[in-house]
Amino acid sequence: MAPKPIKGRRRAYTRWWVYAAGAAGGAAVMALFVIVSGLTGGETEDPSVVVPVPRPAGLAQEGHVLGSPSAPVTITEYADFQ
Amino acid sequence: MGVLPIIEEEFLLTGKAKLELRPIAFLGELSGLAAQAAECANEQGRFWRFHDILYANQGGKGSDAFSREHLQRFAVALNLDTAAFASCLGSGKYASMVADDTNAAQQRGVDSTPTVFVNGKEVGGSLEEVRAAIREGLGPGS
Repeated sequence: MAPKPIKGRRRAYTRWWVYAAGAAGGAAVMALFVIVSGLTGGETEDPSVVVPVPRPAGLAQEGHVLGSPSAPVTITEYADFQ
Repeated sequence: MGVLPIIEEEFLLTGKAKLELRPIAFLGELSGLAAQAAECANEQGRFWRFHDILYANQGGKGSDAFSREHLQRFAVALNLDTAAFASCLGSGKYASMVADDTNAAQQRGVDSTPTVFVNGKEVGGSLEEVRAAIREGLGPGS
């Protein structure tokens, strides 16, 4: 008769790889989440809210002013958000 | 594509111009509330992020897109200090400022939004008009 213990050991070996692959996949998803959260300033996700893409990091934002404070031209916009 | 992203790319990112936004409230109570909310976000250094989320979630005149509940959701979505934001908005501390800015804008001749000035001179809101006014402000060879 064929030695059954070898067959049993092969099943256990396969399961170990399945668990390892699952854990690696989970870690990759978590890492991706952390990276995306970092890029968006830790902003959270609410499906009822559209969250726009952040502006380029090189664009100065100070209070109500967008752009370099020393820029030679000043654009003033009066806006009603609604 | 709207006017602002193009102006940003051509003139703001290149350091040739800066944009100052003045929130005013022509369109009713929720316009005023949204402008106050932007000021509350400004206390946390997130005025422009809040500006962007307001535009991304606009509902038009008469909608409740800028109700207190929705504004609070925007604060959560942007990961603001939501307790401070709620306290600020609830206090109404910026209501008179928004009303004063709206009155001042009307006295300056602003009767619709958006109204754009370049170096103090009112210009039409189209991309070409704004672009031409900026180039004029930059001078020859710009």
